[in-house]
Amino acid sequence: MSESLLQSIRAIESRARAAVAAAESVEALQAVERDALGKTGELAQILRGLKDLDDAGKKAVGQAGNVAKRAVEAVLAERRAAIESAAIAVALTRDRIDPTEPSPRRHAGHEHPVKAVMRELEELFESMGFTVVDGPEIETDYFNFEALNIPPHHPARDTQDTFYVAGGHVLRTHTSGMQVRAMRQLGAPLRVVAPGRVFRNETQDATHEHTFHQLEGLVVDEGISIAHLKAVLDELLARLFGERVETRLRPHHFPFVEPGLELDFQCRLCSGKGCATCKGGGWIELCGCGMVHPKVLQAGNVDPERFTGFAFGLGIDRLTMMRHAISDIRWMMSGDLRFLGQF
Amino acid sequence: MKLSLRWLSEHVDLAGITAEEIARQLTMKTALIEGVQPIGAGLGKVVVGHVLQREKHPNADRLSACKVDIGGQVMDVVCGAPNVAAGQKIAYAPVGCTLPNGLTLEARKIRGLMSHGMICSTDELGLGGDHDGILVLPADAPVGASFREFWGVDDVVFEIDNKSVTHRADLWGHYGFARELAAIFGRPLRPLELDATLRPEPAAFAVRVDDPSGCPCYLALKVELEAVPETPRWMARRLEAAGMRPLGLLVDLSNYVMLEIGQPTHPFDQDRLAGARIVVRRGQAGEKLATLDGQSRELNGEDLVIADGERGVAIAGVMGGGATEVSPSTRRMLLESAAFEAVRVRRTSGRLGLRSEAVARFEKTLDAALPELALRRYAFLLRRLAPAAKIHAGFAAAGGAHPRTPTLALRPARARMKLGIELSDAEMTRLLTSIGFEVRPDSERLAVTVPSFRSRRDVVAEDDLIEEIGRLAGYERAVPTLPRLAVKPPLPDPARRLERGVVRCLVHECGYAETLGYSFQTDRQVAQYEPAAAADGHVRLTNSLTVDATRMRRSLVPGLLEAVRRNLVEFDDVRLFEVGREYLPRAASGGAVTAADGEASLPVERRVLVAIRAARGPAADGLLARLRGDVERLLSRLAIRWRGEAAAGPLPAFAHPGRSIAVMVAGSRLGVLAQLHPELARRFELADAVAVAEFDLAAAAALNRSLPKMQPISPFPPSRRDLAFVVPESLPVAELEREIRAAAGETLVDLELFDVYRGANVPPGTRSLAFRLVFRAQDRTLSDGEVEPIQRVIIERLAVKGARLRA
Repeated sequence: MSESLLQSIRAIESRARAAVAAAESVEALQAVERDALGKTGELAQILRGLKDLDDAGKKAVGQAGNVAKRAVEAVLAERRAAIESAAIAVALTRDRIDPTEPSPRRHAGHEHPVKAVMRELEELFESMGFTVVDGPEIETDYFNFEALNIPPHHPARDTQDTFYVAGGHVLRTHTSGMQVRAMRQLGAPLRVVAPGRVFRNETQDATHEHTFHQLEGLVVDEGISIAHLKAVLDELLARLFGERVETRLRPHHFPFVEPGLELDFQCRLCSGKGCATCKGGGWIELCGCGMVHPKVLQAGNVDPERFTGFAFGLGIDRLTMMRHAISDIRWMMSGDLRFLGQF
Repeated sequence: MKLSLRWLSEHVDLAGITAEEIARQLTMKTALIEGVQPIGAGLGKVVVGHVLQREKHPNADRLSACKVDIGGQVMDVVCGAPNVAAGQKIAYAPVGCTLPNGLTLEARKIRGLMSHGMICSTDELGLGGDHDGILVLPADAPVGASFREFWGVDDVVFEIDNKSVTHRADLWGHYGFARELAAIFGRPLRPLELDATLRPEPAAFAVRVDDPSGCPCYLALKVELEAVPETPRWMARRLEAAGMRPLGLLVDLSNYVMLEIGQPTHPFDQDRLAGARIVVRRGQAGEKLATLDGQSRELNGEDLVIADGERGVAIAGVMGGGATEVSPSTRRMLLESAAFEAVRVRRTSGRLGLRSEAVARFEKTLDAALPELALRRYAFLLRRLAPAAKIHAGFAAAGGAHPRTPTLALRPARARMKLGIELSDAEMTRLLTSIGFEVRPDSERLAVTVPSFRSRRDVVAEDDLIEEIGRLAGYERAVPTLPRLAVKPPLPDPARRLERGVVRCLVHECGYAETLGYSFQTDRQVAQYEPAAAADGHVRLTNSLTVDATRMRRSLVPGLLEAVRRNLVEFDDVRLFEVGREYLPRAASGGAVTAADGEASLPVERRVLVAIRAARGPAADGLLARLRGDVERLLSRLAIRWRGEAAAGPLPAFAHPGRSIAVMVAGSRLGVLAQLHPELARRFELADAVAVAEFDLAAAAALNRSLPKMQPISPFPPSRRDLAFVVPESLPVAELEREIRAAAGETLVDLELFDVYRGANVPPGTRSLAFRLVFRAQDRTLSDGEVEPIQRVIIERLAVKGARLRA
């Protein structure tokens, strides 16, 4: 009895092995598993006959059944892995994408290039301990001119064509008025930058806008000198361009600084040899700057005997134009997505 | 302003120094040189020609066929200039010559006639001037001679950036620059040659100054001549190099002296001065004066007028009158050399819109020594160029100020500190002395005497002396040193921080482009946006750039709507935002402006954020909802808790009254988002859907932001229920949500409206709202038996409100 059962088990096992070896798909394996090892499969039916055997027979047939089951399971797993691996290998040779095919375009946002430069500069100066301050765009004549040592009828007023509003105030022609406001507000010593929109009553062309942006910088402390001014502006340029840049200071006149200076940096396109970008001169004007005039310190309630300071005024739009090779400043205020979408 | 190298070299020996080096040194030490222009370069092959014959070109009305003798050879030249004529001496450029404008001449056929070379205009010769005709040379020009040598064009012109010398009255003439160059290159400055015989003689001519504050000094020199000789070519070339046209010797000398030492003078034809007198007085209301340029100018009591016995003959310091102008037939000249008050000259010039070389100088407050110096220089040059002229040794003089030479104290230590340059006292002394200052030690200090030509406005304090030392020493000597500053963190700026958050979210998450709009509002924008705005509702410009943009914007929206319209031409989905300012007139406070700085009367500037979305075609559906989604995202990123409500109170002009959402934070309105009012859409010609959101950024920055606090995470699984209700349009979602939350209690951890549906199977006037409810407890797995009763209560409570569960 038990011998014939054992024989049947061996037969089931060898049939199942043969079927497994012949199976070409996972489905075929599942069928083999079901037929041989399933709840109603051949092995289960054999084992149902166990109850009629004696203990020794039960033990022998039961063990043989388990051994056969594990053996079939093992070949099933092995064959399954082989079939799946083969399928993967086939898929791998078949599945090819076009790596140049782009993803459908998503609607992208864009930071305005002028504001991006402005925010970058703010962060740079904040990292050097400068406080960012803000002031009115419609400014009093006092802060825009008088406090900066530009009395009424001073010829320097000609160089800044001014918009006036009813009531005698002006649209600030520069951010320099913030020097005095900041000194009054924060006292000395201080280091601030004041970014913002400024206005000049000028006809627009590719390089002139009546509305543009500046960033004013001011450092006041005991013993501040031109050497400090140079170092801070060198640092600014190095951060802006990612490497040290040759600079030079030359005299210029602004009534609110004494000495008054202009900072040029060496043209990066021609390395100072002269090209179209630097108009042949080898140098590009970056900003007006200088040592704060004692009268301006006084206007800011700062003692000019104890403190000295330097100030500079950067033109953000021009810097942005240089950075992105923008040839016409009028794009800046155009609100045109064909322009804005490029940044 | 332009400088001639030849002219400079007359005053200081610049031999052996290149023009480029001169330009570089001036730029680094004195004033920006914007250009270095060689004159006469490339003219080596140009010769003096004689037009033997001129005929009309057979095939072209405007061209001439000329035969030109160039010294032993006669060339056929076709010429296009209207003024060419037989018998003229001209400048002839041969074939093969490259002119300063880069043109290389070739022999070529022009309308069928061969042309060999060219008869040149001043423009083509690189001598400036207008291109309306050829340059006609004097009859005595030797045919075949080098044009360059004959005409005296061999110079270099330096172009000065005028803005860099607005403070330096002494640099408005060649002599001042020669002084700088002498100091820079360590070469002696030659003294100016002057007529030393002149002396004041009150009776020489009747001069009366009625307004001594406007005219502190008036000198007049009498000259008689039988004939006015021609201006020598060297002088004409120098005037041209400096940008002025030769106009006859008497005027040319006046200009020459001005371009040399910076003092304008004016020659009158003495015989045309009525009553043989000069009166310097204020203008009279309604008084008219025809100036040299042929225009009639109306004067007022502010202006300073030079009059003769009868009428005004010149606007002081601005421009002379046509009636008393000198001419080649002038036999008696009266030369005016005066001091006029800078502000008065400036004001008159500004009011009349009349700029002149004289104004550019007088407005800078000139050296008191100049009027007499100019007279002596003019007399010296006239004597040399017109030896037959009779110059009266006695000149009329009214008033006269003593040149000021103040002494300032300079602390060398302060100079070293401020400049950041190691400089000895001796070096400072040397530098200051080199440009005409006198220096002597005075215990710890240096006593520095300012020469009169620097003393008026320019060098008045110690720091001005420090600038002189710094620039002459060279700023490159300051070694860059980062300042040592106390470690003090910068003060926070909530508004700026908020703005950065706005940019991060709108640009990087929501796909908006940041834009910038003008602060001005055009009449058209006002008419389209707020036609009913009060007349005094805008801050107004008194001198706008264009007549239609006279107001400051009181909203960013109109400019953005225009930008949207333009962008919709090319884009289907437009998302823009601007962070900018609105300008509102300060409400009349009744009180007068008290603060000296006028601070209190400044208009109000409001920092606002406007985000705007527009979409064409299918994307237009639900645009307001999508904008609201952006706003929800934005405010959540900014950690601002808000509620959307129907707007109470006046709405902004852009808002559709029924499709507006007031963004409420702690009981006050932070902003509004709305579909664009259809009337505005019509006026701005926006056919597509537009939705606008506007926020008060300053108010937002001032809010207490509620940063998210971490909630405990339950280890037990959630139980989800989706419930859809048919809800009358009049019943707000917020009310339903309140009911649901109240009914559900604390096990409801999330409530999301995930679908809104209107249409088939939903009765008109209602919509279907589908909510997803997530229940979860911290301490157990919620069973269906627990959630079911809660769900029933919710359904019952909503039914009471009028919301019916959708089957």
